[in-house]
Amino acid sequence: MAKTIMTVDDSSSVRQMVGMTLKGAGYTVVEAVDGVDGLAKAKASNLDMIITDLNMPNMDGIALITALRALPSYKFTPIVMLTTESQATRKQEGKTAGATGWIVKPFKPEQLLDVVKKVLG
Amino acid sequence: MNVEIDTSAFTEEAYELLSELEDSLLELEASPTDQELISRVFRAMHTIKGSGAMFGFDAVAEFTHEVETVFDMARNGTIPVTKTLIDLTLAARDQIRAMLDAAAGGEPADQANANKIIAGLRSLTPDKKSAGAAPPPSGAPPGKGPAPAVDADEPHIFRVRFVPNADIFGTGTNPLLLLNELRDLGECRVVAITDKIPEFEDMDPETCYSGWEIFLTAQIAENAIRDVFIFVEDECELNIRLIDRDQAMRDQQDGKKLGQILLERGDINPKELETALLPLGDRLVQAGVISHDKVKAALTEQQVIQEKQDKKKTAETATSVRVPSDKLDNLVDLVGELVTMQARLTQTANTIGDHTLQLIAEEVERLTAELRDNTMSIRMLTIDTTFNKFKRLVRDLSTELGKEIELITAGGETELDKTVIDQLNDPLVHIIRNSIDHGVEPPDVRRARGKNPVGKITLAAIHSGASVLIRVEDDGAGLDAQKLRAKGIEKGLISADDDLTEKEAFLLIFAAGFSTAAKITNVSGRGVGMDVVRRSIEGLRGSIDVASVLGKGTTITLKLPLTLAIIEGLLVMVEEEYFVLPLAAVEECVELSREDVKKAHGRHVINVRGEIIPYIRIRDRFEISGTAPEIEQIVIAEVDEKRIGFVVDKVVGQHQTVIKTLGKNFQHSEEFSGATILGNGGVALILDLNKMVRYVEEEEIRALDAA
Amino acid sequence: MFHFSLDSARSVGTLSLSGDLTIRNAAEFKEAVANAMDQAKQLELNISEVERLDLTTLQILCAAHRTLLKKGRTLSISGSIPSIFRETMQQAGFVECGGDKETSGLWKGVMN
Repeated sequence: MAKTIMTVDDSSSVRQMVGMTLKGAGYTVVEAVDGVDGLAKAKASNLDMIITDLNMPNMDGIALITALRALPSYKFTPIVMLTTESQATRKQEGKTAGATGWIVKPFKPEQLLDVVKKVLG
Repeated sequence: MNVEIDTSAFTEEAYELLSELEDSLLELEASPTDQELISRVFRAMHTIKGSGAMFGFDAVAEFTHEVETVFDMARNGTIPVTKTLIDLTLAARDQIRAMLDAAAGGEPADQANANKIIAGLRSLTPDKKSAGAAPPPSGAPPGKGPAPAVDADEPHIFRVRFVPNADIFGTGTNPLLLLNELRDLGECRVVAITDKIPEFEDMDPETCYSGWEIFLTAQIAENAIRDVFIFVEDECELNIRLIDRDQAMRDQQDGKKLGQILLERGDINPKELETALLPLGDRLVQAGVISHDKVKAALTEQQVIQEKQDKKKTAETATSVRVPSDKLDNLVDLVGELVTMQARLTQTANTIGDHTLQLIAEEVERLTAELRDNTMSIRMLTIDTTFNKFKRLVRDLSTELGKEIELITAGGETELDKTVIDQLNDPLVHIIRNSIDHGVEPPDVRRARGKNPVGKITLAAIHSGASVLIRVEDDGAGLDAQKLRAKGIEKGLISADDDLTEKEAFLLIFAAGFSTAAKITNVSGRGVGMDVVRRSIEGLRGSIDVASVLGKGTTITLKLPLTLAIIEGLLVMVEEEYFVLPLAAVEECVELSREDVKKAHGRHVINVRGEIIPYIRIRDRFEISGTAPEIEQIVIAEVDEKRIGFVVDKVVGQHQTVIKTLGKNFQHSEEFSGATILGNGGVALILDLNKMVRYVEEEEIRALDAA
Repeated sequence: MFHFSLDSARSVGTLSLSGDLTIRNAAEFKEAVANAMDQAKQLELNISEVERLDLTTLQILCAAHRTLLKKGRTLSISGSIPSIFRETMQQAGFVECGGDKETSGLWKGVMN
């Protein structure tokens, strides 16, 4: 059964790039535009992994991670955040909130798949 | 296990490494930033140190360690590669060699010299120069020291201790996936440490209680392992250690002892170890000192190291086998006898005329030829090792004489019989010394003459039929035929009215007691002249030639046989006597009738297709009694670039000849280069055509003078 | 997912496990094992229907085995062993679940 991964990003081009890459690798993809959308979709589906941006309107990535970890069904789910090099402190916040790992933007499709494989198996 | 054999295996390897090391260092001097070369030097030192310690050459290991340390810094870019460093390392290389020689029963190595080198090397390291440590290489993550350098081009065994924090699952991390990633890096043994798993009632199902020891054998740098754990580095205890390096190597001849491993790993203290009795592992567990898992991990470590060593041994065995050369000589002797027996078998089969037997004899002949060729090829070595030695010679001697000389080598891949190569070394040393000393001029003289101040000596080898030509060419002053001639007269080697061609004058340098050097220098004037060189080369059934242009340079060419042990010969008969002529020289055979002899009016010449060829009658030469047959055979051979005939009764045919040197009683018979045993048990003498022709010519000149 | 049956004559309880056995239901799994341990003197695990497992599964089994051993009771594996079980154990390096040599018996049975 194909694993389902949600990509949460307010930038449609990032969502598209992530979505295409993951679909190309055989994953089922759920897209969300911000934290609020992401949290709602997470509750409504059974996700195997979440890839989220950090800077988003409404609910940012850190808040999303915290909220997800509070849900029993997402307590142990791999969550990877998208960061930029300049966001070292944000990265730390994300880890503290319960993120599994990170991908530094900009990244190539292969790098994304490497990380997915790393945390999802 | 025979200790004796092991030691020689090490010394042989070490000598080889040292000679490679020398090449690398000299190359490094030319390109001091070549990372690959620096690594190569480091690896050579590392191996010598590692195996030296393993084989009980502790002094060598300790000394080498000092050099390795400095080169490790050069490799990390902490210190630059300078001429001083190279000089010291070259000196260290010689010191190591001396230490090895001493261990083999040679003169004891000079400890004072060793101390001097070590002091020199230590003065190059930064902590001696300034108190401040070198800045960490840029790009290293802040807060972390530079990772220990590990060359990624040979497999290492890493011990990775990975103990995730209890709450690791809370970050969505699956530690098993990390273990899988390690497996992708190389050969992996994973041992779980589960002694933290509590009683069932007390356990939290969502807590991680496990830790691991992973033994990874892989051709990677340590950073590749750290990368695997990049997301969890703050959420685990991670300890990566290279366990197959340095000190560890010393203990591994029989694999490390379990207790030792546990001690080193800090799992137990020495006192605990002492109180435990054998079997150690079980006792320790029973005593509650450590858990079964830790013993298991230690055992795995022992096993992984052992396996790597076994594998290394296997790999070495597969690529090459080292045998003492006397074993090879024995083999060649045996093959020689086999060739003889095979010839006898063929002969017998033909005499009996049994077809089946003849077929067998033919098959044996084919196999024998193949066996012979194979055996000979084992003895063939490339000449580059010999060539490379001269790089050092040229460097040292030219420095000593204040000259700048570049040595260029070509054709190093040319193969020659080991015996020839071994005996070639001294003559070549002498020729090259001469070129450096007498040939190439000092830089100011060269500049004045409009030459490149850096002189050039070219050392080249090429195949030429059954011979190899070795050319030593310099672009120095060249030989002055006039001066040579004057010197020859002065030394009484020639008389004042001798009319010498330029070439004959050049050849005077090979005459005994001839030396043109105005003063005896440290370099070439060591009491041996070029006459010794000539004799050595002739002893190898080779010849020597010299060409020179005054002011432009000198070329000395050595012509050497590929092998000394076997030659292809032409078997001939005079009456009941057998002789062998080297086939390489033979060009054709023609008949000589009484009629032809008569036509020549007593002169020993024959007209072959319009060409007048002089001949030597073997019958007359060796005073063999009896009457020559009506029609004799002339074997025409090329000798000293001239065609000369050798008259025999009968040409028997081609014959593979295993050369047996003549006994002392016959050593003065210089017309023979050896003897061989024939299939029928008879003996055939091998003719040295060059010498024979020379003697005949000399005799005729004397006869003419007398007349 | 967890089904427990007790053979009262032999006082052997069999806990049959099926489907996913991962951290997501690790708490429930532990609970099921605890109940089974309370009821049966000897506990058998039937893992033939297990489809997924992870480190938490192995830790729970390891702890149960050790605790039962200490109490002089046994934990054993019955039924066929799915290959995923072997693979995960190998991945985790749990081939010999530590403590002491006796406890590793459980896993030896699994691996053979």
